[in-house]
Amino acid sequence: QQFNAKGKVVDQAGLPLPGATILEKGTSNGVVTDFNGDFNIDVASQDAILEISFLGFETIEISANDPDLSEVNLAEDENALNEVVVTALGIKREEKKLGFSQATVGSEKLSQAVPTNWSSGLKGKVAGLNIISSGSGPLNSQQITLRGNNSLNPNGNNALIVVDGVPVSSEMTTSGSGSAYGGSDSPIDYGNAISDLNTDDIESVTVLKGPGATALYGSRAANGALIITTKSGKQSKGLGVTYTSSVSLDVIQRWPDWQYEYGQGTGKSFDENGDPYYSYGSSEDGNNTGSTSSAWGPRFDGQQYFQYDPAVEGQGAERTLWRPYKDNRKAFWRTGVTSINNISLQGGNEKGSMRASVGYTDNEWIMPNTGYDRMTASVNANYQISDKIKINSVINYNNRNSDNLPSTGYNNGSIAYFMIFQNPNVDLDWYRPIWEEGQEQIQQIQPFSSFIDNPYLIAYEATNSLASSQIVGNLSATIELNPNLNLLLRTSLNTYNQDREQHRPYSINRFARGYFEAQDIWKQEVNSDFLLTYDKEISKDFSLSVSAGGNLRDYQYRRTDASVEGLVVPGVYKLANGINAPIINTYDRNKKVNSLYGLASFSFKDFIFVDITGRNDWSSTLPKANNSFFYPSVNTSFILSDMFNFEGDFNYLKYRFSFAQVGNDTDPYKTSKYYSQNAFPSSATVPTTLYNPNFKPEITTSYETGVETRFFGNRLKFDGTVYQTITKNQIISVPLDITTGYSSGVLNSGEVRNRGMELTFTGKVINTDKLRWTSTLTWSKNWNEVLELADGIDNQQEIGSGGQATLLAKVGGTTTAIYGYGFVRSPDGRIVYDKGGLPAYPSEIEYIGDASPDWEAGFYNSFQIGNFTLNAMLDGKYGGIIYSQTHHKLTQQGKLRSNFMGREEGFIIGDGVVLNDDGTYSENTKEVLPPDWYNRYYRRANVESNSFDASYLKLRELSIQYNFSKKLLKNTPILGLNVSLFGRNLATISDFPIYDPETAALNGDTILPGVELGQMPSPATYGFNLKVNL
Amino acid sequence: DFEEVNEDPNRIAQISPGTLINPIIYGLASHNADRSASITFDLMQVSLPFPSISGGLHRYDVSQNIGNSSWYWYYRWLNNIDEMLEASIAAEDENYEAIALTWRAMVFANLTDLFGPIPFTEATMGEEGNFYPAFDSQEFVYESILADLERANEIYNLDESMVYADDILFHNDVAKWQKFTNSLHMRLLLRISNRSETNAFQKLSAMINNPEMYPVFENTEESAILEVTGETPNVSPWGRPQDFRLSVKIAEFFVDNLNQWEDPRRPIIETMAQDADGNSIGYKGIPSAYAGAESQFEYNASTFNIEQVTNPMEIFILPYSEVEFIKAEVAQRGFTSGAEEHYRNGVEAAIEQLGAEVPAGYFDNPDVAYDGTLEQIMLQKYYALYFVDYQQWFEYRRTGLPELPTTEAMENDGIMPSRFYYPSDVQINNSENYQKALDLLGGPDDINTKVWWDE
Repeated sequence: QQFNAKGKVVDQAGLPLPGATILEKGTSNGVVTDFNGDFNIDVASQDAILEISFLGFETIEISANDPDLSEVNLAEDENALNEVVVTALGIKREEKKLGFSQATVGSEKLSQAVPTNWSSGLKGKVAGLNIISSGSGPLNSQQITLRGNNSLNPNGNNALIVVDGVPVSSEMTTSGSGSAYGGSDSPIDYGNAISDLNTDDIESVTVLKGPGATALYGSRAANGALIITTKSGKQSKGLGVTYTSSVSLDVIQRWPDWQYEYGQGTGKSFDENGDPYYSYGSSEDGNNTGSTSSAWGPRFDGQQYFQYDPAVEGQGAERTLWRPYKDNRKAFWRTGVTSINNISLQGGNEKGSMRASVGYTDNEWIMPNTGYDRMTASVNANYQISDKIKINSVINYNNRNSDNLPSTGYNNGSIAYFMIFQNPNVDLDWYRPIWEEGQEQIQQIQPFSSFIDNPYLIAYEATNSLASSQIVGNLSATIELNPNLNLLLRTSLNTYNQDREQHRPYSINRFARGYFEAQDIWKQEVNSDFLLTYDKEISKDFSLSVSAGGNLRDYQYRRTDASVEGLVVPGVYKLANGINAPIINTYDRNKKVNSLYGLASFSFKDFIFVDITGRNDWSSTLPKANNSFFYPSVNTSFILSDMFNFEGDFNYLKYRFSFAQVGNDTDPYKTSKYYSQNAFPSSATVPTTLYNPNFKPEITTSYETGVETRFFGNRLKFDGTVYQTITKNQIISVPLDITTGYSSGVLNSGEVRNRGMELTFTGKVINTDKLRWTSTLTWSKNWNEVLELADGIDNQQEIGSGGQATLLAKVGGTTTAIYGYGFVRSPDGRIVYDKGGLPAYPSEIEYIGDASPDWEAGFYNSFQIGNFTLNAMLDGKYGGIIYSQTHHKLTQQGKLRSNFMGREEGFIIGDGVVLNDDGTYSENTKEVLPPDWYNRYYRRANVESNSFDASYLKLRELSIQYNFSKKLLKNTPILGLNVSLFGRNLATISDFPIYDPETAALNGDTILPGVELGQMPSPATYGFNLKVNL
Repeated sequence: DFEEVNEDPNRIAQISPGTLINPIIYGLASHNADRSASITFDLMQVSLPFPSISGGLHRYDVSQNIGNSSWYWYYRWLNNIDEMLEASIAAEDENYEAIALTWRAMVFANLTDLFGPIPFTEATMGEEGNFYPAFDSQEFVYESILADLERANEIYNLDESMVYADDILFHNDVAKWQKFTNSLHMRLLLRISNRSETNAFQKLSAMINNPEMYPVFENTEESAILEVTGETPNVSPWGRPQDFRLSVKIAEFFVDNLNQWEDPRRPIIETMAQDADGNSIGYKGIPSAYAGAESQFEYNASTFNIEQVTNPMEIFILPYSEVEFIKAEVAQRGFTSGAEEHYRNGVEAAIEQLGAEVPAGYFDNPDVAYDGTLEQIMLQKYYALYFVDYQQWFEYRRTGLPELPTTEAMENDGIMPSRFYYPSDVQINNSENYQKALDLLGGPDDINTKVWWDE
């Protein structure tokens, strides 16, 4: 006879698990738990066995009359086969059903080392994910790319970021002015707007690596996507309050190997005895040698010279000791301090739940008078308002303010430039008063050269402020039309506002009478979606789910820059204080994209899965005739282990394959003719880029296949993927000969292929009660090849250039190939010298190396011993080169310890050969002055001698956590208490001679890989974190 | 509403004849000033980089890409000039049309003088879909632009005022624009005068003898000299004025003549040299293309005075003094009269245009007093053309004057380059027409192939 079994299913913390399945074993009789985890099932007899399962938990079997039924504890299955992941459009899918590769990083793993920018927490943890940044200050914009560079446009490779269904581009928000090399003003890094999302609010980041995964997101996801899910509310035992607090210190650990043995001088000034001397200003010792930026002067040997005297702001009356000031660069920097405090509250019942959080971050960066503070607030709420309708809303708000962010690049006003130009015999304190006596706000103390701006003037007077606020939020309703048919309606908003000011004081090198610029930026993107989903189990073996949806995207961007060059009253930064009327430029943009899409998923016997998608976009940015474009994708997955009933240690094998196409549009206003803005009144100029009324959408086609296997009771997991992505019809600016009147034209040209492989191994190396050691190794490699360029220019196309290093795409080459001058070499490979005894100039640039690494790897380890957990993350890149402008300049100026060759002797005979008139080579025997040799050998244009192996290995994250046991906390209101010590970027192994091999040039609003221009130090971080649950 | 969405809210789609004029004037003038300092000064022994042990333009070590910048900027502005021309014709505004024709002639003349055959008829037609313009011979280019200048002079209408934005060169003074057109016409006729079949001297004398019909500059105030006010965007091309003289010294040839004449221009152009003890030793340069180490010069030589490029400043496009020297040469060659008067006017104007005053007795110096030779006219003209784009070099190629000293250390056998290489981009982006251009050039694409007028 029938037996009625009642019970409750909870997790290990005792929280109810709604939606768990209770199945009478051997039958199809089953129920699911309600919101409180309760269930009630009629079974055949009291001896029946119940199978209780829940996604992500280990399934247990229990007798229907077992007394433990009143509270069934399910343990989390860390190797859950049926892991649920968030895929395109926020659709949650079982991992095994996916025909494409993805990786999910949960909040624990993401925030172990408490990154101030959530994307930093991903470094090394996902195979195929590449993050480059320029090291340009506290906000440090990051360019996130997946699977190599698809586009010939260096800005066209960013992954899409989706926050709770709100697509936000990962665009950077630099000042957009000035190139990194000596532009009219230096770029300022205002960070990616989306980096302000509070890491503590993030539940998980799912990385969808290729178009196969993202075809439904449409054009913007051609380069893959990062799907961020923020934390939502849960029913909780206690008050539902979580408080986290951390303090961390930033300490610079890696410096260039500056020399402090020789002082200022050109190396070409000698006294009567032919010995080098020094004189600040002309003196009885000789001509002035104190205005050079070079350190080819006399050795510090206890001698005395006429030097700068800060008391008189000029030449000292007496000779003073010739000595180095070894701390005269390092002392400028300080220990950075960051404090982060977050509090969140959550709760819920069967009708709905809610979570709210507030966070505050305060950063004082390593450069004096720089840093920012950030306030974040978020609310995530859902409520079942009727049987059929559920509403959900997420709002993330943040507000970031900074009084000063550093100027970057190689330019007078950047601090990196000062670090290069500072001389060993100059005391940093001499600069400290900033202004000459009686000349406050008029004339900076600048005793040595007008190229070298006072570092304290840069830090305290030449400021770049920012006030920004951002909202990322959505509101959605899910309506159950009938048991098989659901309708989702959603509207989402991403908007930000930024007010920026750039102050440049009197007497700064670039702006003798000062400068003021105010930028006002507003961006808004509204997405409105509907998604209709129909689920049907057609037969026992065959089920079907069909979805159809639509999206309206409306993008608006407003930017107004107003500036005055020359200020009437020094130090007053107002547009009304300009000598001339302000120059005003606007950069407004609008764009609309409408889309319709469909998804059909089939599954057969729960081991064959097929997804078919199609999407059609209509974009305002394309010519009318070509503005509609359709693209399909197919993903399949086969659970071979289920199909063929694997047994023994080989537990699971999945094979997957996907094919996808994604179309892409472009930026607005490329289809018709406009005249460029010009600063002369009522003037304009013809643009140098030719418009094109006829171009077509870009198409990215990708294939991907891979396997996922598990062995030894799921203790060892392996996931391997190979892929190929080809992007053609790229809408890019193609160079034209200027005799056409245009230097470039918007054309559909170019075809780039990326092929690669991604491997991930995960293992529970040791799994005992006392010690758990889990380990994850990721490895990825990408081959990039340019297959085709535009007709007529099938030779080469410039991707970008910084200093004298140029990224050139050639057919058969890559999109990150670095070209520049090298040495002239004899047939046996020796450097050819000219008759003057210096390395000869080659006539043509050549291929020097590639900015992209050969491969990248990450190695993550977690050890759990009792209540202690130790996590360590190592990651590295192998191969690739980086050109260092800073190395060139330091070497040219004799400022590194590696520049001692020939200094005592007073000459260098360069190792190489000379080309004789008869075509033979003979040994170079000519003596030259060391500064001349260094100046030529390491000249700026010599990309070969100033490039370095970019390989590195970093100890990226290290943390030790202690979890207080429940016993200890038993009589307190505290439910959980966790303290940790953490560190980031603690150690680096690299050949790169400047600060950090992880760098790139921030050039205008582009991050240019493989080129270092005026790098700033990048610190290691040490911190303490506390987490309390109430 | 996609079309409305894709309408740029920032930039304009329609222009008037005056929309482009100031950017064109400033863009060309600032480029020319920059090229003058970085190319002409070195080639023509005005100044030299120092230290410079070997190589360098002053030793005629000419890099492959030396002409790239002017090729780029000149064609870029030609595209603007052509649009200005179209807009003027559409608006039936003949003054703006004449101005556009004048600038067009000036830019094409500089281009062909730099390179020889150039895209002319088919230039700046990218919008019409011509991405591979054919080249025209220099003879054809000159024929066409001289005809344009003739036409420009005819269509000026002094009774019609220029109604669009205030132009930064002549402030909408149509009479001055017309004088500019004719002064340029004279410059270009003289340029091709070695080609006797052009009857250039006859045409020049006809112009000189008919000032009613061909008004030209009559004083420095009327000259095509751009006043750079320092008000953004009309600012010095040198964002950092000190770059103008960074590692640069005045050349011995340039300064020695001025010393010989006790010339009042010296303090305006250059600083005084100092000996090893920091004492002033007057104006002293470094010999261009010097051989040996720089330590042989035991003094800190004169360099440029940066006031010349510090706001406010002047950029010389076509000074009145040049017109007088043209007249002096035509007279000296016997086509007209008054060579000495024109010579004196030219010298005085050349001094005035730099803001100096002609000292009493200046012409009493036997080196300055007119001696009837072309050598002397061209030497003084060389100083009048100081800082006037490439003109010193073009005139040297035409006349071989002034005589510049040569040294052992010079490359190219000590022979002054006769042209620049075509930019290597042309070979890449327009290769077929490049090959045809070499036939028109009549020699290899190197610095020693002479252009058509260079006989």
